[in-house]
Amino acid sequence: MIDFLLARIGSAIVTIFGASVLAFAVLRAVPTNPARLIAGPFANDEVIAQVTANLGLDKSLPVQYLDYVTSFFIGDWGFSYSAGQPVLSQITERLPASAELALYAFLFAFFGAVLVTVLVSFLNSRWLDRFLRLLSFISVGVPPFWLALLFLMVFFERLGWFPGPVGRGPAPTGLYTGLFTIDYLLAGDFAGFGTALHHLALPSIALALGPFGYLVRLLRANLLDIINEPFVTVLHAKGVAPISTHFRHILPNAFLPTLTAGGLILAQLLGGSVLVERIFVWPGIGTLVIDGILRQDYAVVQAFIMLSAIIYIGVNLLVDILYGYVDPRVRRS
Amino acid sequence: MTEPPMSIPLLEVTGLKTSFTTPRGTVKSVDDVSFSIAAGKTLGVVGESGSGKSVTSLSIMRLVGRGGGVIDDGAIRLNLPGQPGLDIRALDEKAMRKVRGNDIAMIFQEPMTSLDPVWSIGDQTIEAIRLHQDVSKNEAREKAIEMLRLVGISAPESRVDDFPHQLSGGMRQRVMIAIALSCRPALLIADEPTTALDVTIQAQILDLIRRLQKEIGMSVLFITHNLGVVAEIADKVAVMYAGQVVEEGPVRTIFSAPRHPYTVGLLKSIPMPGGMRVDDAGSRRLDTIGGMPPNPLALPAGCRFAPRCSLAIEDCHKAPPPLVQAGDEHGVRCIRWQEVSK
Amino acid sequence: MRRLIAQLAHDWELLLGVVLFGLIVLLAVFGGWLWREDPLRVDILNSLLPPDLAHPMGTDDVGRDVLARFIRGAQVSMGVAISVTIAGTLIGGTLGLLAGLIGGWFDVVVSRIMDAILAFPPLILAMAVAIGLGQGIVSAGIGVILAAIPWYFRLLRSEVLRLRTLMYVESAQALGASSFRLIRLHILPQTTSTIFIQASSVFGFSILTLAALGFVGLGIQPPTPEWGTMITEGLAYALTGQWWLGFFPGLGIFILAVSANLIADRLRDIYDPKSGARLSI
Repeated sequence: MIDFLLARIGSAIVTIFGASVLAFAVLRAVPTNPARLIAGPFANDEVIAQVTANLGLDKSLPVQYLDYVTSFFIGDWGFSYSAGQPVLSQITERLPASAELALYAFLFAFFGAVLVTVLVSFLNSRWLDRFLRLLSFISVGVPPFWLALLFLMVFFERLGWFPGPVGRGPAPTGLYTGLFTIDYLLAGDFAGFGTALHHLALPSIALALGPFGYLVRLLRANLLDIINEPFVTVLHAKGVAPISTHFRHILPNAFLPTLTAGGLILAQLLGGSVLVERIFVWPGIGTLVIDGILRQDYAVVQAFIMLSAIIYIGVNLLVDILYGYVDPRVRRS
Repeated sequence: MTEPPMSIPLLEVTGLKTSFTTPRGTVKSVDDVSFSIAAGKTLGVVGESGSGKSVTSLSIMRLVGRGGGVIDDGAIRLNLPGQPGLDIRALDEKAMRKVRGNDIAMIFQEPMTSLDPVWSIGDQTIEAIRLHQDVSKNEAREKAIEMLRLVGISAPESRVDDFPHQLSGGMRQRVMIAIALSCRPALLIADEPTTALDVTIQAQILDLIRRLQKEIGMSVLFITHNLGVVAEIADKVAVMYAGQVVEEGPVRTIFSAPRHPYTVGLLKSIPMPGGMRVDDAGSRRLDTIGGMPPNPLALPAGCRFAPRCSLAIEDCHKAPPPLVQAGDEHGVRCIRWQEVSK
Repeated sequence: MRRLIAQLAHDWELLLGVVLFGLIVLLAVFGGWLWREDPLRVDILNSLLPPDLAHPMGTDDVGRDVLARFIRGAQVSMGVAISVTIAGTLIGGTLGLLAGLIGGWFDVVVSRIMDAILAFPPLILAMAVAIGLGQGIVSAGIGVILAAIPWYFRLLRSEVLRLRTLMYVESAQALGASSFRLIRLHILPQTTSTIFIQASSVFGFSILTLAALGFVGLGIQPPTPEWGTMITEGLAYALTGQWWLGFFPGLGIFILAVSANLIADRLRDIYDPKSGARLSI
């Protein structure tokens, strides 16, 4: 087990190294002058020269890379000129909003997909299965930002069922975790909890639909594979009831790829919220990043990209370890 | 042990018909199959793949529905000692689940894929025990260890927590047998249990089945395409071809005086160790069976074997031959059986 | 091919995918010829008109015809997505073939690079490249290509390794067949359908990712219409009743992505029924 853990952690570190080189290559070593990129289009030569020196762009590439990596890991993520604020504090300030949105989107996508797919496969109805397949295609193909727009037009403007583009709603008085729903619960304020959920509903569902469709397709295919395995016939021949066969044998066997994919989706959603935050005026990292792109204030965007990759690799690693814990074949090999 | 009177067999299958609906038509996989198995005895069912032997066994277990099959006709009766006979086809699903694994158990061809890969072998044995017996978890675990010991797994106390991928094919088949026999069934259906194993392991598994059969006093329905295996283990033999039993009888009769050209062909096509009289005259043309089994969607109107049969005459192609008695307990589905000799 | 056409007749999902896809293709190819409005002509007096006969998709905030912009957007999106798919296939596929055939250090190095690429969520990687190379449709396209390369790489590499272990390729090599011959005669014919299926998936991914990049401001620069950018432009009017600005371009993205995925999935079932679980997006 220790060997397994070490091997996985080692390979994650190698991947982080590769990803950092790639990010460095793409963002810093490109022909365009990164100093101009960072300083923005309105900077004069003096500012650019200063930024060049600040960035250490006069040094050799390997030295620049080392600077880049060390400053990232000590939390020196640069300075946002348009916000007049260090990037690190900007991001930490807005992380909870994005994290809460991603978390609820994940809950919808993951548990929704598992529940619906397992139920449909258990009921073994041809028509339900066809419907689910079509639903998964629609979900995977719909652009989340367009869906968010449609949601607002229908459920806010026409029907008035959900709040409009006003962000997260009123903040709870005591902020512990930064996640409004949890902070309201901690304060015992259930009305506030409801309000927070009400604001989360549309953006998180818009964000969740794509991953939902993907997970439905994945789990459905895996369930079909396992259902046709000989050991399922053996279980029936033992006299095991269908419900037990389905939930205690078939599901655990078919579930592992979905678990892996689920972890990656959670990590992707953190970055993917870029696509719906703006429409709901959600005060998260996504809005920050788009503003950064529009103002050509790239320090924030660069930090966001590296952060996304690290979260992605970290979650990947956690899932790998979890996978080994759940699947005896991986753990012992 | 109280044995039922010899006149009532443990399992009686009469006129069984099972079909599958495919996009290209209905396949009659089992077409009017009848046989019986006496308590404590072994019936070997022999045939090529696609002859309907596996579907027959799945029909007895009422497990054909999973593959889209339907039992169209026939009767399957299970006469357990000291109990009124059970009409398998009439049982509801819940009652049928009590029969499966408890009164009739089954082992399969593929030991590598017959076990749930994410359950330990002990848990899979315990599951079978607790389904049919009212015992605590710990008692079931003790019983599971005992069963694993019985099937020849060394150090079962520690191996009970192993997962299937840690065992060899032969070991997995032993585990399958332990699971199948954990409730001491009256009938064991063994569907090609040795086919996927190495030759040396095959003999061990056959020995094991024979030994446990004596110990438990169960009947065995042994399905195989290998006549050599049948000669070793069976009391009676049924030879199946294209969904029908073409010849049945005591194992000695079938091997010494087969009356169906297909049986003769099967016997000629495998190298048999001594003990059989070899009659040279007129047998050369049957050395291998030419041709292919008929397309199940377009079966011949007459005898299903006629297109491949060197003895076929015009009448053979006209009407399906009835099953006629060629001797004591010896049935054959051939109108020229009297002219057939080895 | 004949098998495909026969399949179309009784596979309504494949049929649906092909018809929807064909619809957008026809619109992109012949739309500009049938609908002669100029997508760039500003007409302030006729701004924000709802859909009617003169403007079937209405007009935008500066009075440009939305249908004309939709058609031009279809040309842009399809053109870029097709180029991206082809480039991704060629680069990723070639690298995969070479890694599988050469093996050794080349395989190790390229595989590591692919791992690094896969360490980024695809959208984020495309964003990074689009920013690094400077805003514009070409940078966005290169970003999407880079994100798509590892899929082809892994696919082709594993196919080559699998086929190499098969007897007939081994014996062909023993007979002295050159690597090029090996690829042309043994490996490519075996993998064409797999590549094509993968390409349909990647096409759907490209459409969605390009639109997403356009939406966050990293796509083609105005005034050239692109579906993702058009949705951004329609944002301001979405809640004041002018729904058509953002609705139609999104519908276009949706139809293209869904039909590409439908086609990919059906083809996978037809040609490669055992790999139902292999999904790429």
